[in-house]
Amino acid sequence: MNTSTRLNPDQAHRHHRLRVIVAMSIYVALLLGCVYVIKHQHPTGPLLVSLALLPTLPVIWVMWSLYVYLTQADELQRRVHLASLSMAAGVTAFLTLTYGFLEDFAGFPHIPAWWTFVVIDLVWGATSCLLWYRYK
Amino acid sequence: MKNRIHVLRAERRWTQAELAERLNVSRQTVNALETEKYDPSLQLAFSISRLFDTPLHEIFLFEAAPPPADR
Repeated sequence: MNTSTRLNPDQAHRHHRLRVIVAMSIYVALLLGCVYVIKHQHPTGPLLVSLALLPTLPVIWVMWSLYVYLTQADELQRRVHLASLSMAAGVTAFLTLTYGFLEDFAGFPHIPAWWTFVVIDLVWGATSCLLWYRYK
Repeated sequence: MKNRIHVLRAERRWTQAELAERLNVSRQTVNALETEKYDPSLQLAFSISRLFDTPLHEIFLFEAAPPPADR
C-alpha cells in the first residue's frame, strides 16, 4: 500500500482502517502463537524475551498508520481523534492510578500492565464514536 | 455559526462528496459544516469562500450574543 502519495481525507481514513484491521489480525495471530509456544515449549533467555515482544510489532505498525492518517486527515477528523485520544489517556491514567492504589493498599488482585492498552483502546473508540455522533 | 454552504452547493448541483473532494476534506466534515455543527478554521473558511467565489461574510453569518438587558 503506497502511503507516500497524498490521499484525500476520506481515502486516508479508509486506508488507515484497513491497515488497523490487518495489523490487529496479525497481532491476534502472533499473540496466540507466542502464548502457545511459551506454554508448550518453555523457551528461556533471549528467545523467551523475543517471543514476549513479538506481538508488539503490529502495534508499532498501527501507531505509524495513525501518524500517517493524522497527517492526511482534515481538521475535523484530526480534532475528533486528538480530543478522543486525550480523553482516553486521561481516563486510563485515572483508572490505572486508582486500581494501583487498590492493589497496593487494599489487597486487590494484580492486573497485568498490558490491560492499559486494552482500556485506552476501548475508551478511545467509545469517545471517538461519541464525538462523531455530536457532529452528525 | 450559521452558514449558506448548503445553498451554495445546491446552486452548483454538487453532491457533498464532490464538495468534499474540491475542498480536500472528508464528506463527514462537509456534512458537519452544512448542519452548522462545526465552525471551520480560518484557512478552510477562506478555501470555501474562494471555491464558491463568494465573500466570507456572505457565506458565514456571525451571530453575536445579545447584549445584557438594561436594568
